[in-house]
Amino acid sequence: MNSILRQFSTLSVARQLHSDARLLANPSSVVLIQNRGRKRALKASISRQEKMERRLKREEREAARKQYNFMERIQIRRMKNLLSPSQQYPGRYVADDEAELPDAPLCNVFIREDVKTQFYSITDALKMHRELQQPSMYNNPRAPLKVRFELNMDTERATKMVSASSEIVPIPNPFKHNEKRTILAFAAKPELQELAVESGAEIALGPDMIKKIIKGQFRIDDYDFCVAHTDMGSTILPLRGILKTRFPTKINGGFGDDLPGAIERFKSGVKVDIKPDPVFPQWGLCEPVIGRLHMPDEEIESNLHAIIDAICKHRSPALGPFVNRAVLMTIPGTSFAALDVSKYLPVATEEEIEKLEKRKTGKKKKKEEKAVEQKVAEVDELLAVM
Amino acid sequence: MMASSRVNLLKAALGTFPAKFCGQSTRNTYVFQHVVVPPATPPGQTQRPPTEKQDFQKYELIEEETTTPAGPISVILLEDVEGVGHQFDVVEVDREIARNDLLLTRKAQYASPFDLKYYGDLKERMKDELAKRVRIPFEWLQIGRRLQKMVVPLTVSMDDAWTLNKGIVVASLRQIGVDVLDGAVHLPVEAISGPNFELEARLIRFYIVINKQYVIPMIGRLSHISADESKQALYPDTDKAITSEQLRKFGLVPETPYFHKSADIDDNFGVFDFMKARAKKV
Repeated sequence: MNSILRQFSTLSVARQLHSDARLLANPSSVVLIQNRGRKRALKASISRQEKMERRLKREEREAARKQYNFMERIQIRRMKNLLSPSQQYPGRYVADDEAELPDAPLCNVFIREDVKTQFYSITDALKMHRELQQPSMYNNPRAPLKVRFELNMDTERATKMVSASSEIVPIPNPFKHNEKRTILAFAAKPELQELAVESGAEIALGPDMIKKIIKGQFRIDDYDFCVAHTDMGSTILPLRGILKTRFPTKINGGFGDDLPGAIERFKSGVKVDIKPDPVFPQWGLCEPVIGRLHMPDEEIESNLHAIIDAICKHRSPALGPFVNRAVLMTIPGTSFAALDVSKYLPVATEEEIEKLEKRKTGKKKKKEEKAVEQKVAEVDELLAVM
Repeated sequence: MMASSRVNLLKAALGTFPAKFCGQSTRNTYVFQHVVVPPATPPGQTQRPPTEKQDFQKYELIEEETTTPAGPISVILLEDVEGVGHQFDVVEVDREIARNDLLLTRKAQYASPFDLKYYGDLKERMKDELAKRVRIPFEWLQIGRRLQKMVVPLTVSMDDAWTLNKGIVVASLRQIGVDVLDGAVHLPVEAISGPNFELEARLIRFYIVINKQYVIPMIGRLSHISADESKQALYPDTDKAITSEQLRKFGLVPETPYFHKSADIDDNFGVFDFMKARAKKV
């Protein structure tokens, strides 16, 4: 063992001697860089190769940084954290992407991606779904039908969008939705409160509880909607900010004399949630369940009409169509059919268009008017002096 | 091959194809206009030289004609070209396609007055032969090719009794993105019913008729489905093309589309038997 080690060491020494000899023979090849003194390690210089590597890395990082501008980087960061529900199946309808495709199929057989999105009437869309859900196939003829509304959430101000809301819309043809709905009833008299609870309300409150709700001692987040009798009157007005879209008004049918009727309407109504997209704020989604597949076509159509009316109240029609595309789907299921809802969308009246114009140019006009008034005043003064 | 690759590299590097490399002259046309309109020359007098005043030499660029696209070119087709037109048709084609493909490969000729007359006369003389030719519209050919590549998963219930009918096939086609508007689907005469797990993943031949005239053979694969997720089965990969061996396993043969003389293929035509007999002949 020792002899082997000695041999090995002599070999290495011989090699070292040999390399030293070569160095001495060619002194110009010797590069001596010595660092002496304090902070030797910090002053240690790096080789040319190391310098090249560091420069390349720096340039790569710079190139990666310069690839996107500021707004794009914000967008990328947002997208990494969140997934856009609007872009998930079946995605968002963008008319510009289909501009080059033919409007209508050229033959009786066509591949959907080779033609523009075909918008079907509700009857045709229902027929397609019924064919798929027949007993021979998916065997679900009573499947709940949902309509996926793609919404345009922008308003006249660039930074302000239509806010999220949740409401229960009464529909002309109720159906079995198997949802548990909790309704809060406001009534002054104890008999009315009892009647409300019997009709199906979760709980009935009187005027004394209103202060508690405002203070926060009574939680109202769990309740889907509120109904109030006329004898409560204006006492429930302080709760408007807390209840927001759940607040009972004459318009939404929650405020009236007939408590059982109102409760019945809201129990059987459709829950409509308008959700803005977290990644793309100008987009929104709303997926209400409008009926069941076995219902007659007219009933489903009338339900759809009522729901669209309720949804479109959230944005002025003068800004353009609120609904980008409405797609009929079944639960559960992935197949969808685009619906032609143009006849149900509200048409902007001239008054509304004028109002919008005024709001847009309101500030500018005010400034101009003020300037004109000032000038008129100055001229009057001059005339008075003269 | 080497020379062309070197030339392509140069093209990519330089971005354009400069004249000195291809030996052809390039020309750019600029349209200018006086900024200050010079005074009109009175009759009998000579024009004032432009060098007299600086204003006479000021021009502004209105248009650079080279940047505006030249537009399509009119050519006479010398043979049937798919997607463009039939033989002897005078068509407007994209300039690049015409120059790089059609004219070079002699599929088309410039629509000069002489050639228009020449090929017009030739068309007249060949009228009978041209009338005999079978010409299938290009859109139908395209759809046919796409459809033949597909394997349609025919979704049938795992729990309920079913018999394969038009409705099932049309709904299954709709699921993969193919719409058949008038239900022109022709199925095998022998009824296939289930649920029968021996028939699972079985390949079935059926036909689609485009505009009552063009019969396209298609393959469907039976797959039993259930709304109950615990009963889901794994399906073979449908992206790969079906081989003739796989077809033979189910007693099928590869078939080609059939174009009928007239548009009268309806439910009473007996498409299935006709195509079967045709496949046997081949």
